[in-house]
Amino acid sequence: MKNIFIITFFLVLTTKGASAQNFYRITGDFSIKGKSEKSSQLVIGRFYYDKNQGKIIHENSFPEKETWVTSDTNLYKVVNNAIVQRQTIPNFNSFSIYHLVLSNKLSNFGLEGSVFTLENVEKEKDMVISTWIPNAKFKNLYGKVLLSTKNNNLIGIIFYNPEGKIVKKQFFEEYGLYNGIAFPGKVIEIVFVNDKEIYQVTTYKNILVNDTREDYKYYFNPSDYKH
Amino acid sequence: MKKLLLVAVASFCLSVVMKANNADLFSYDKNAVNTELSDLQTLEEYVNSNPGVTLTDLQLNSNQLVSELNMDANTFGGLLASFEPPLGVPSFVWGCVFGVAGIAIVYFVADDKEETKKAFKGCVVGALVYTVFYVVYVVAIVSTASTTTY
Repeated sequence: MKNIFIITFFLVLTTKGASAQNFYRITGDFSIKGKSEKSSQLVIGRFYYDKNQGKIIHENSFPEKETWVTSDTNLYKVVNNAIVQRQTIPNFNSFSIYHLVLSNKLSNFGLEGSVFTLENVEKEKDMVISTWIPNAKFKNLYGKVLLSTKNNNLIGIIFYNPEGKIVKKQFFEEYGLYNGIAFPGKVIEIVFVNDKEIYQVTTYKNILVNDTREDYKYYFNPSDYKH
Repeated sequence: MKKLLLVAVASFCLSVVMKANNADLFSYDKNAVNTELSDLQTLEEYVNSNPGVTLTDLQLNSNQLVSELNMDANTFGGLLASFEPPLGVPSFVWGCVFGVAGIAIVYFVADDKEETKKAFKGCVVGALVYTVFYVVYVVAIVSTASTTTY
C-alpha cells in the first residue's frame, strides 16, 4: 500500500511538472528565398524571440549585415549599432510563427479568438480540415480560411478573398521536435496574382527553445542605439 | 417519393465530391517551386559556404550568380510589397481599421499608389461605418431614455 502511494505521488509530481513547462523563447537560423516579376530576394540570418519581451529580432547576414526588430508598433532597421530606419506598424508579433509555436497555437494559426469563427471540421484522407469564416463585420474584407492539420501539426492554410477566390496558400513541412515543441523546417508560400503564382520559401534550422545563452540577443532598447 | 430519394442521393454524392475537393486544394507543384527558385538556392549555398559575404561584395566582384538575378537589396519593405499588401493584410483593411496611420503604413511599405488609394478608401469607409454606428447608438440611447418611466 505504501509503495502504491509513493509511486502515485511521484507520477502526479512529474505530470504536473511536464504540464507546467513554459516555452518562452526561441531562436534559429532562417533563410527566405522569393521571386516576383520585378526582383529576386534572398535573406539569411538568425531570429530571436522571447514571449516575455515581445520583440522579434532578425539578425541578417545577407544581403547585408543589418538587424530588423519588431517591437510594439515599431519596425526598426539597425546597421552598425545605429537605428537607420523606423516604420510604424500594427503589433502583429502575437501572430508570428514564433509566438504561435511557443503558445501552442500554430495548429489553428491563432484564428481561435480572432475575428474568425470555426464553421466546420472534417476529416479527409489523412488530414483534418477546418473551415474558418470571418465575423459578420468583416465579411466584406476577408474571405474564408481553410486549415489542414496532420497529427495536430499545421500543414496547410488557404486564404480566400471575399469573392471566394484563392489568394494565398501556405504549406508547413519538415517538422522537427525541439524540447517538446514542433517547429516546421520549411514554409512554402504561394501568392496568386493576376493568374500567376509567386513563390516564397522560408527555411528554419538549428532551432533552440528556452536557450539561456546569448541572453542579450532577445532584448532590444532603442535608446541603446545611435539615431 | 422516388424523386425525393433521387434528390437526396444526388445531394449526398455532390457533398462527397465537394468535400473531397477540399483535401485536393492542399497541394502544390513542388517541381515548379524548386525550378523557379533554383538559382536562389544555388546562391544560398554559395553564401553559406562563404560566411560574411554580402550582396554588395558579390556585386562589386561582378559575381555571375547575382548578375543574372535582379536582386533586391532593400528587403526592409518586404519582398512582395509591390504585389502583396503589408503583412498580408488587405490595403483596404489597413485604412479602414487603422485610419490615417493605416494609409501611411501602406504608402511607406507598399510604395504603390493603387494600394494607397485602397487604404484611403478603407479609411473613408471606416469613418462612415463608425459614424453610422455612433448615430444608431445615440438614437437607441435617446429612445430608451424617452420611453423609460420612473
